[in-house]
Amino acid sequence: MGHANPQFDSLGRLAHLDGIASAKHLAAADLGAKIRTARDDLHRVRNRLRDIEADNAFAGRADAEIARLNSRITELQTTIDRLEARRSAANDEWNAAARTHARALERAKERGLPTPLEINGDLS
Amino acid sequence: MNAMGTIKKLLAGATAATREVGTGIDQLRAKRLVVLDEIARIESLPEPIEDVFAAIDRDLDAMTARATESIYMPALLRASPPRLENPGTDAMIGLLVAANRDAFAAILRDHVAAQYEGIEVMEPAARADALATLAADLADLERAEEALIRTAEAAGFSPLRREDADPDVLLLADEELG
Repeated sequence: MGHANPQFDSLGRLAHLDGIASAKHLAAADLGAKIRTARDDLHRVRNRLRDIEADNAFAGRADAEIARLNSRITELQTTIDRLEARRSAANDEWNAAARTHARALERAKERGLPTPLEINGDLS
Repeated sequence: MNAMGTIKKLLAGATAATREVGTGIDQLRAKRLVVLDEIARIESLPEPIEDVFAAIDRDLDAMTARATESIYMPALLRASPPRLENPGTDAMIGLLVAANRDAFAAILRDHVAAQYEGIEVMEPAARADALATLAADLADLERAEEALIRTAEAAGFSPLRREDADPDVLLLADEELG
């Protein structure tokens, strides 16, 4: 549990730093979910385009739809690229925040300061 | 003023505040880098040449003493016939130095003196004082940066901490940051 030292607020500060890391993680995970959704959409649009182009019944009558789908593919690809750049930055921020928290936690333990209970599923 | 005008004014204020926080943190970090550079510079400054000459004398004497001590005396004094055991390369070099110690010292002094022309030197005590002052400056900057980040967080901004921020400062209670 560690001994309280009025100079430090290890419990409060560690909870704050952990909260920042968790928020960054959630932001990165949220961007990951958006990327997966956009990729699913892209996959479906490409399949639809392939079906139309392969189906002779549409020959000469689907130009507008093909153009629309191609435009949608470009749009989705641009969106995915932007989201991936943002996710990469979010991952960097999450990693940085997690390392900052880990270093502070390690120092609190070295100093024998109180640290938050670690929830790790260990029942012993 | 209409609602949009008010909102635009608020947004402009928030943007300016964000920029100000970022600038403040950047300035503190830049000062920290300057202090770190100065620490590295001072740590690398040579000591006064007299101290280096004294070190040369001391270490040459130590080499010759070690060489003399490494001679296996029982083989010379208690064996019949007496013999000189091979003392090894290091000891042989030490004995060669002992045979012409002053000449060795003069060569080394001349070599050192040539490196000292026009360079800054620092006494050990002055170096310790300067490093202590810089360490205090560094600690002040770490505290100021953390205090600024906490103030910004309280105002709703979320600047990132440096990964190498001093973990002791990260753990300080708000009141300790001043």
